[in-house]
Amino acid sequence: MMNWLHDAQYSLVLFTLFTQASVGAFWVLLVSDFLKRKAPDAIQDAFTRIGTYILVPLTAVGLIFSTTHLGRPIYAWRALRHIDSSWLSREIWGFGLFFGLVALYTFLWWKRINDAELRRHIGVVTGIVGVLAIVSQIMVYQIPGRPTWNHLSTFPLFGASGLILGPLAVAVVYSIVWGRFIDLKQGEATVRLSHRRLGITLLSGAVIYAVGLLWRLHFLASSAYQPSAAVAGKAAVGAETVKTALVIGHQIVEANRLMLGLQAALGIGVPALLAVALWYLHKKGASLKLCNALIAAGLPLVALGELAGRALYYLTGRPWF
Amino acid sequence: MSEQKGFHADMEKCIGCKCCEAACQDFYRMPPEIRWRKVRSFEMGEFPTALRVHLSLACNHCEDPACMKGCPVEAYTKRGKDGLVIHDPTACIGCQYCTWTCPYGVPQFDPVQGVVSKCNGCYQRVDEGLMPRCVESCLTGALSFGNVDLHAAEQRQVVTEAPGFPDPSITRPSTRFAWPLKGPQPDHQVSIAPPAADPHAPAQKEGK
Repeated sequence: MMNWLHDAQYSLVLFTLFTQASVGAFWVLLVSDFLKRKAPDAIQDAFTRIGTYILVPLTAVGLIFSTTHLGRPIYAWRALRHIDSSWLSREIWGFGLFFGLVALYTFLWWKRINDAELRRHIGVVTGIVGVLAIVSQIMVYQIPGRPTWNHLSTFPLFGASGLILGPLAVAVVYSIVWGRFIDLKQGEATVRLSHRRLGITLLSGAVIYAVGLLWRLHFLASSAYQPSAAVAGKAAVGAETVKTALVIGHQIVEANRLMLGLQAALGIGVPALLAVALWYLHKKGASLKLCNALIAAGLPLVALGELAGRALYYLTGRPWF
Repeated sequence: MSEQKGFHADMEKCIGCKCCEAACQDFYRMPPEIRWRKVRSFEMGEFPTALRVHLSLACNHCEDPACMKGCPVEAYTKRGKDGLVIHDPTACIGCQYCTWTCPYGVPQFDPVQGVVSKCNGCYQRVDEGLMPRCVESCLTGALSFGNVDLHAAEQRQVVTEAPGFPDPSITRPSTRFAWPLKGPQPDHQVSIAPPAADPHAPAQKEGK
């Protein structure tokens, strides 16, 4: 089991998913902040303010897991040294900065709530840094040394994870605080509106994720059914050797169909179904408690699908020479 | 002329005895699971010319080292005087990114030490005018080391590609190869340099 977890790079699975979720969650809150810029809404602000509570913990947990795969985690700070050519260094810079800015943004929400313009300016910078950090994270895997990762499908896959997990995490926070810290009747309209927006976001995320996954599977299978030295089990030469890596990657996916199934059903199917269910339930005027229960049940399922998918991603990056 | 130094591996001469592996491991007192030099064996060609080929490989001391570019802590340096790529284990944090970026699987992670290590081309020996330990220990003379531009004058064949060896255009490795005399020849993939001393040698073939 420990060997499997090591091969699946469990710490990097958690690092990438937590940090992507934190950027996704941040953008939801920032957009909510901006949408009420010209027509201030105290209820929406109350939700957004409480929502910011999850940003620092999500990013912090992600950053902690970024160090657990290191041989010498005590020297993790040294990873900031080589920003001029190393995408890994840029990634750590990006998420390090994002963490600091997110902490500042949260502080402004809680301690300087009247400083809305400053908060929004900081928010825009934070959002851009977050997106750049995810781009750096994706570029870490655009390496010819591991051909199974060296593909543009990593962009939609990593991006969609943030687009699905982040908003879903914020929605769960909204469902928890509604009725406890915010009056049930006063908050109802805001929650209904947030559910409609969540549905659109989840559906978009599911479509992007599905495109990324199909693209990646097609890429890995592209060499498996063609006559080549790699398929014949013989030594390829030169650029042909990439096919060996792809054949190995395809075989790993074939051997882990259960994980692929979980990724597709829970990582794509559940958010898509949740989006449709929210649309239908709100159209029929169903109770918000039912909608919230669905969202709360959806988050762990989606997280399981994302974990399976990301672990499979790392498993396919096996050495090929 | 380039000052880049590199290994030359003659697959015709290599018998797969792994003396080079053992000599390297012994000299640097490495744990059994870490091998800076590895002898790989491949099947190539079709019956009746199919054959087993042994390929002794260590760090390729690339012109454009992906390990060095990707390393977040600047643990890698490329020496100006001979192009050898050196890894500093005291700077390494054990992130293992170089084990991903190197297409040839050269850097290896030692979980006990918590750092990566790799062949350094025996640079201290080279500075003293000696050969790397692997070259010195080779029973058949299959391994040699020197200025990459001089291999053509000294070796039977000098090509940049070998069976299973990832595309050399990725990092421009300095290792050169001579293929087995029988079996498939690399004429469709790479250029072949004839021995300079042989006046009857065929004209140089162009790459694809």
